[in-house]
Amino acid sequence: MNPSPRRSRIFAASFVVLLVVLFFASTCIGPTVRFAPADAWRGILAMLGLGKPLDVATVQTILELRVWRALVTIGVGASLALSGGFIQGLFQNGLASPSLIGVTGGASLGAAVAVLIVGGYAPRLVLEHIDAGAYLIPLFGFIGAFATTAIVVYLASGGGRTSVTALLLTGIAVNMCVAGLFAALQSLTLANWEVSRAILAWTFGTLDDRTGYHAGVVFTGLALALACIPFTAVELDLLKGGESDAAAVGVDVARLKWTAIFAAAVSASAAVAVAGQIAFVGLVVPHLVRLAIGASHRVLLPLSVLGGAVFLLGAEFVQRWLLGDAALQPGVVMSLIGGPFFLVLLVRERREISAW
Amino acid sequence: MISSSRALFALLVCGLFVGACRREPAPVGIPASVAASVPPTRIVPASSSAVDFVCALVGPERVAGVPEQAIDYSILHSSDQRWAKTPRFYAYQAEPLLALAPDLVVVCPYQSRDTSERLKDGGVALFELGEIANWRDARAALLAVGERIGLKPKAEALVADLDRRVAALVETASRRHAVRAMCYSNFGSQGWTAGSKTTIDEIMELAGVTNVVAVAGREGHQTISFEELITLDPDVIIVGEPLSTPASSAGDRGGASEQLLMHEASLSGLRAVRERRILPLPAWFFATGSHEMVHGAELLSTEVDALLARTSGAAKQ
Repeated sequence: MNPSPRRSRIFAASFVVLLVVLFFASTCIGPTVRFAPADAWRGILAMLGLGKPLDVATVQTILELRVWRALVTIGVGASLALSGGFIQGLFQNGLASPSLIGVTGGASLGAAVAVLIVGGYAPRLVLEHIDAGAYLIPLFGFIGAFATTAIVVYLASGGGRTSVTALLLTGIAVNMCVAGLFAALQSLTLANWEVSRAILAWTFGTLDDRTGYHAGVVFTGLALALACIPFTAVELDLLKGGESDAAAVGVDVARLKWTAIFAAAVSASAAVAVAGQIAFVGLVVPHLVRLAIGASHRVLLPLSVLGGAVFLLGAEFVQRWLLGDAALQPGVVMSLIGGPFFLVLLVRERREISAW
Repeated sequence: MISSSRALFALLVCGLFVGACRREPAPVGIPASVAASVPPTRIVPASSSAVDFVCALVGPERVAGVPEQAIDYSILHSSDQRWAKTPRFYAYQAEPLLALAPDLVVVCPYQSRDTSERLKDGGVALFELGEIANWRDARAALLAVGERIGLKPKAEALVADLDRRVAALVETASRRHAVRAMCYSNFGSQGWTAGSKTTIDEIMELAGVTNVVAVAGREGHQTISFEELITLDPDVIIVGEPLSTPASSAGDRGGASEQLLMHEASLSGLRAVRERRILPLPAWFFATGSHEMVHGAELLSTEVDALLARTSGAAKQ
């Protein structure tokens, strides 16, 4: 189904407006002070070097922390949704998500290793030269996610071909191995309550205390994935008729798969590396966008980017607004929303699923 | 008809199975009344707090084993070589504990009820400590343990000494009331602190230091964002000690929390960072749930006094 250009434009414009409003509102409301919109605007301008900072230096710092938090939330939501769009297009299945190719599990393992290093399990020489764990966790998370995806793709590829079924099954198997290693690390550090608490907390996801470094990581991943859209969108549409049909009309199926996997892996890895495990955004958002505007990837992928950003930032804003200090971690919130949503999808698509 | 006979058969099999699995009470070597009157000689303290209480009263000759994690989080962190040969076990599970052939296991209320039941089935006497939220609870627990292991006079003498130390702390506490402190731990994923109803809060109170997290109305161990940290802006931040200090063991062994506080740009405006009032203390300090909190409070008060003297001296210069 080709989407009506007008309908797509209305959706895109609505997402952009919502995103701007939510971004601004997110800088006004937080766990401590509430900013008047005028003050928040002044603080943002000061942050950009376009005005005088807020009167109290501490208050300016708080506002800047909120701006980084909101930016990282936008980046994470957009990246996860885009990754989900690529994966669903590649697997030709609206129930697929980035965790299938090992991104989430790999990032968790990488982050757990980083926590162990920072928490005192590295050689003394390393420990004495670590300046801040905040940099190490995203780095290791990204390496873990990307390396795990690479292993999945390598093992699923035989004779230069990568079968989608093989990718799915290998992904499940590698995820199991990674989950086992992660559980082993958790088990071995149970006696060290501070380290085990840090590892466990990472699995709930976090968007607190994010800085320019985190924003840099997530938006780099997002930019690399966005750059892949022009090379994959039409081809993913053609893949719907099957790999042979797509090849018959000139699609380089192998190149398409590699590009889509790279885009999905790089965006989701960067997102999970900076924010921990936040499930279901990659499943829910592309699915909803597809229901709204149709399945053409030329529109679906960019709108998933906007939709993901709005979805995560909106959910975060609403729960912080309503719950204040009692706000839950983003991974927990997304699971509470995503789990029932996934069930509804399964029930709705029972007939189609039974034909698999 | 067939299905009902199958159901009857299944019921019969289940009944036989349940009957076979029913636990027979294990033969208990010593009757309970006698066991209580004979002082135990193979005691196993099953948690760090229990280790603190038991090892303060008896020597290694009466302790059959200690949990591995207690080495870092209990009185044993700074003990001499006397305890080096005491057997260790990794987790509170029936098999490794029964293998130590204990005649008394001292447990905390949060430890596995299943394991406790299995130990009772094995004929082992259990002594459960109450909830320990403050110094008074710890004091009562120490006396109770002393009574149970037949060392009541020793426990009373120890408590008298602790009371004297607490009184000495209270005497000097007022000069530290103005110090607004909090503890902080962050390994890069999230920051954590402790509010009221924690033993760290009790230690701060004994030392006369104000816990800003508790004053802000927060209870228990909680996550804390940079934004909240900046708003609370304490005078002193207590972190885990880095590895280079001999007394440190588990916990923040790399000194990661201190490194983060000192290097994170958005936290550079914190008073404690600007004035270098980051106070590293050993790992056991953050987890003690026994009378050792008095030791913790003494350590904290000494360190805070030294820090205040240093910073006021620097200000005069």
